[in-house]
Amino acid sequence: MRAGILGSLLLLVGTITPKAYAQTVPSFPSCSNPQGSVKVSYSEGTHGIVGNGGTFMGSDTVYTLSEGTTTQCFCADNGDGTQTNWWHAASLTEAEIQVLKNQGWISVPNGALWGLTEGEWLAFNNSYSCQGRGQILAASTGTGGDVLGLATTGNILTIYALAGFGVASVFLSVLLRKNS
Amino acid sequence: MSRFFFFLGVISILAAGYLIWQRYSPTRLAFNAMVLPATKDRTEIVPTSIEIEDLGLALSIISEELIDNTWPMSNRGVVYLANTPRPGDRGNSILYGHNWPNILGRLTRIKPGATISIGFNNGERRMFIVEYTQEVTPDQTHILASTDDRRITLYTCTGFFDQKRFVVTAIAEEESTAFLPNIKMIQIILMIDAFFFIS
Repeated sequence: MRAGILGSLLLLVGTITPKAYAQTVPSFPSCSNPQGSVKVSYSEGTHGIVGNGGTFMGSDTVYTLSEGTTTQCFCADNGDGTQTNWWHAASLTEAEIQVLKNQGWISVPNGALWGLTEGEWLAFNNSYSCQGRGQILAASTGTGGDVLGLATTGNILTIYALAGFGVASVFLSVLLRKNS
Repeated sequence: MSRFFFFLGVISILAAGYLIWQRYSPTRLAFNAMVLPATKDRTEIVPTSIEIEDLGLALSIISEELIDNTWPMSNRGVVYLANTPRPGDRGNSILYGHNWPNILGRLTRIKPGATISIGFNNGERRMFIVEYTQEVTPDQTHILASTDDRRITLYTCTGFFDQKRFVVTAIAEEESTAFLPNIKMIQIILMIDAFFFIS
């Protein structure tokens, strides 16, 4: 029983502990408030999504964030959006690349095939919902604040902790009464 | 000793129960119980209510400024970050609400194209059309960056143990009936002017 409780605690800690990387993953903005400069933009047409063999109809805009990072914002006509974060892998070791691939990053051996510079790139897809009207947003004019990170996460953890502690205390009191 | 643990356990469970009731209690957010935000200038126009018809949501808005880099939250409605532009003014207006059932717990069901209506203390209303919804991590603060358009960014917590944020980006309607002249009235006036001019 003790081993089971300890195992559950370890599982919980492992679930909420942020993962550590040898190489820091760059921060990518969101397609709903894009940053950087517009590299290319299409209000309509047929486009491909890396890691997905199909083609899709919709708008597509690529934002250059830095020399080695790019964000692609695709919005399909049906409102399904895909944000692809592109990261040039030139500075990464094979081991780091493998770790990132295990995290869901897709390795693209030659970025030139996707309109980027030559060399290996890593891509990560995130989904979002959009209007599907082909509207292109200009890149943001300002810097982001830390408010999102400061906003509280609510009290759900407190509720679970109180309830769990309460049940455990009552259970312990019953055990103590039985032993005495 | 057993009594001590028993009472401690009961108190903890009751405390958890109160917090759960707080998340589900709808009557606490009745508009007649809303406290109007204290403003330095009585003529200051501030947002006071938010309605999302598609979700059946009608909540009060509380204006709060950053204090020592901390944004005070509220258990009574949606909080508007008063350091950001007023909803409908040029820029990115930030609003947040807890993901409780009686606040923004249903926000994750919203779809692009839905309408968000924001009411102000002077009786005016501004409409916004949802353009994007996305789940982000707390460190993706770019979502709150200032913009050239007129938008609101409404978000709440989501995910396992509220580790992520569900963000709704809505853009102001091109013509707001609250802040622009009534177009039909102008057309009628022009027609009358044309009639008198011709006659």
